Amino acid sequence: MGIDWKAIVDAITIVVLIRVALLILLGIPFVFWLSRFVRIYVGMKHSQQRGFLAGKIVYYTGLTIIVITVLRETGFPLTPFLGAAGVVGVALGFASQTSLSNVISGIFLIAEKPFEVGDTVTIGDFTGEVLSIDTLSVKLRSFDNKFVRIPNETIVKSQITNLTRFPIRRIDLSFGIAYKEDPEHVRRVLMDIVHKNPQCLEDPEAIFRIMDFGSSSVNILFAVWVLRGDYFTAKNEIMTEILRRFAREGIEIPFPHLSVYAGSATAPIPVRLENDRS
Amino acid sequence: MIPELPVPWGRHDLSSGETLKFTIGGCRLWARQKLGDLWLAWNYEDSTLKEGDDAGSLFAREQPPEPPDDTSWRRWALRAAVRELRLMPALPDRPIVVCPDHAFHVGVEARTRVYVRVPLWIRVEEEGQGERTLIEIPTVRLSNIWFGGLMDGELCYYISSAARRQMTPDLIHADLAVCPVQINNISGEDLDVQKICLRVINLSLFCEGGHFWADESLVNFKGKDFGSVFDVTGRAPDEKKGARLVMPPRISGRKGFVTRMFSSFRELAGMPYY
Repeated sequence: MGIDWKAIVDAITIVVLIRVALLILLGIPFVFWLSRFVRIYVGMKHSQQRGFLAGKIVYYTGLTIIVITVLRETGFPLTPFLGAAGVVGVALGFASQTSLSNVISGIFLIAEKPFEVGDTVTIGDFTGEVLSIDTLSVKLRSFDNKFVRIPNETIVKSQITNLTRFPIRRIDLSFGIAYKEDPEHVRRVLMDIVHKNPQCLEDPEAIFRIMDFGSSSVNILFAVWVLRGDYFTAKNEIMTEILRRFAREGIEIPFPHLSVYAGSATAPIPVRLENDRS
Repeated sequence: MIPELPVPWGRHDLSSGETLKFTIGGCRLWARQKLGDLWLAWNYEDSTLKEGDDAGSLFAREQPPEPPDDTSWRRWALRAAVRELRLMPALPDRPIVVCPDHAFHVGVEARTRVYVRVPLWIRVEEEGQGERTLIEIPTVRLSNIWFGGLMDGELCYYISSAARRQMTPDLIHADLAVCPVQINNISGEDLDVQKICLRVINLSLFCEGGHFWADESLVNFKGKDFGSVFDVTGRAPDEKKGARLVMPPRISGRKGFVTRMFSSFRELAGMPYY
């Protein structure tokens, strides 16, 4: 069924033009305002990304209603238009599978809420602060101030680590001490470092564990709890203090070394001075 | 009307170019007026509050009582030239976790009373119309502790000083407030008290005879699964009925709310490594 363009043009009068102009001039700003209001309201009530989603739904729905109303006012027959739009929609759907996948992934992300705007996350190789969760992608700001855009589909398929979900974090420090050291002495020194650092929490207590007997050292895990905001400064301070205190207490962090024996399993390699210069 | 406060709390004249030095608990505070601006500097002695410490208070108009080089000044430009300074005592801005003398048990339907001494905060106020708090400075450096679950707990201060069963004279200091806590076990199970989380942000501060008291905390333990109902009387404790109000609670109006106030070491410290 064809569109009767002549009938449409005949139907457009001054009154119709004024009504269409009013619809556009008042309707579009109203939709802008409404979507912004919904975004802020839902963002305050729930979360920012839900606010973004709700605002976008209102925005696109409002624009669609305005377009349909304008077409009806001008006498444009909507039935063939909607039929054609359906066909175009299917074609566009095939052509934009990736984008649609991103949109659907974005909805899943908003529903599942593995992170929120402002969280610090690691997605794949990137770690950064979440700037926005949009329809197609998530934007991050890395710690060296780079802007990273990750498609929603990639995020849904990736492992996500949210570094700021919980209020406290544990700093895990792994290092070796020489076999000659007394582990209890080392433990006391480490605990003293923790007690003197105001950023370390008294409880949960710091953890001292001998993890294994390595080829060159006794390997220790020392874990300390801090507030998430103090993580990097506390880690730096504790590591610096460990080096200082170990040096002062004479506790050795050994370099990897290898003992080579010749002949007997216990006797060292015989060394003989060729020229006695004493 | 604010009752008479022991030195060094209260108002102090501050003339141009003069520097005042205060020692309150472990905190040393310097105040100076320069070109109408208020300058403050403070630092702490190395030691933190320990049981039996004589944390006396001291006020000096020494000339010149300069802070050490590693202590930096902070400056406040105010509406009018500073002529007076007011130091008001306040309770800490976060809950405090304390240990009783020894871990103790409160039997079913039993009740007990403990006294906790809490270090005061120094609230520096601008004197004059519409007194305004400029800054709050703790009188001792307290360590932090996490109280509750790893996902939903709260940050508190930790004091190693004990919660006592008896009121003794050594509990009284000009830089400490005594907080009486009445614990009633109304559950059908024994209450194993190893740590007490005292919600000082809901407590008022009273003073009598140069001694500071908080209002009485009433804790009704309803069971491990139900938490405790916490309430405050809002008036001077029975031990000092004539004490006058010095500072209202930081957060008021929360009466009879259910919260977590006790823990055993098993729950907090015994977390497995992995």
